[in-house]
Amino acid sequence: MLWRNARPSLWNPWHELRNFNDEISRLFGDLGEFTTRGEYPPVNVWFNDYEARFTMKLPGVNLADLEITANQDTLTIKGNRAAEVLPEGASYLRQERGSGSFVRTFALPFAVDSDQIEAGYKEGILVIRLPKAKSVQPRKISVTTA
Amino acid sequence: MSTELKKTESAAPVAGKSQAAEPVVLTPLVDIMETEKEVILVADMPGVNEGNVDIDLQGNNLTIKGNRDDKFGMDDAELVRGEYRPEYRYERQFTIGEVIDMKGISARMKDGVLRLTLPKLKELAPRRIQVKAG
Repeated sequence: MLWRNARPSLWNPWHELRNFNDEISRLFGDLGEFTTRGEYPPVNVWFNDYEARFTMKLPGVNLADLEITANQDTLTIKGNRAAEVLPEGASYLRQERGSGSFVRTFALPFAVDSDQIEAGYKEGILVIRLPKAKSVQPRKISVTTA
Repeated sequence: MSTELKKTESAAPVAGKSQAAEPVVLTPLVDIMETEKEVILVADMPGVNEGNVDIDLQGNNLTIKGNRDDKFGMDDAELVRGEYRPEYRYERQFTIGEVIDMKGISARMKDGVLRLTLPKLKELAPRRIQVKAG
């Protein structure tokens, strides 16, 4: 094979072990590109008093192929990642990047204000902000004397 | 959107930082394609922009690195479900079996995908050595 994982100039068994560990980790999808349960793409969910924020590692996806829907307290992210187009006369030496469609659905513990949802895509990271519905946002209650 | 990247050739390795502050190191998934004239490497590095990707070619050792530099302003929120570490960096090394024309290397970063084109060095034209009769 033309390409292989580079080795240090001095053979180092620990390095070999680490390589092996990397390969095994990749087999089980534990390198950050899949969740440990094999779901794709991986998501981080952040909460504060006013909103939920989702960040998703989603490199190389066309915005036209993304569909985000929110319904009361459910968020669905659907998409498709186009396959790499092989230039004419080219052949693969390695093909690890996947393509195809995915869908992930999340139930939120509160209702969201669906008119105020914002989504942005930058550097291969999808960020979705879902503000809580006014009725479930914390409210300061002023006390008046009777 | 994509911009030409800076290339560093034979850059000295950066001295190791403290272990505790080091983010998790991930291996980027790659496609490598070869044509008669070039080798094309495509790597998924979400969260990495053109400013913090590092490509280093020393002899036939190619290293690609990418650092994720922001946390998307999450200081005011709490991580309630984590499927990937918010702080990470990508690193991977390759050994190239071809002689690469260093000056012709081009790299582009778009939507978290690094696209590296490594042109093969054209073989030197055979040179005829004339022998003169002494």
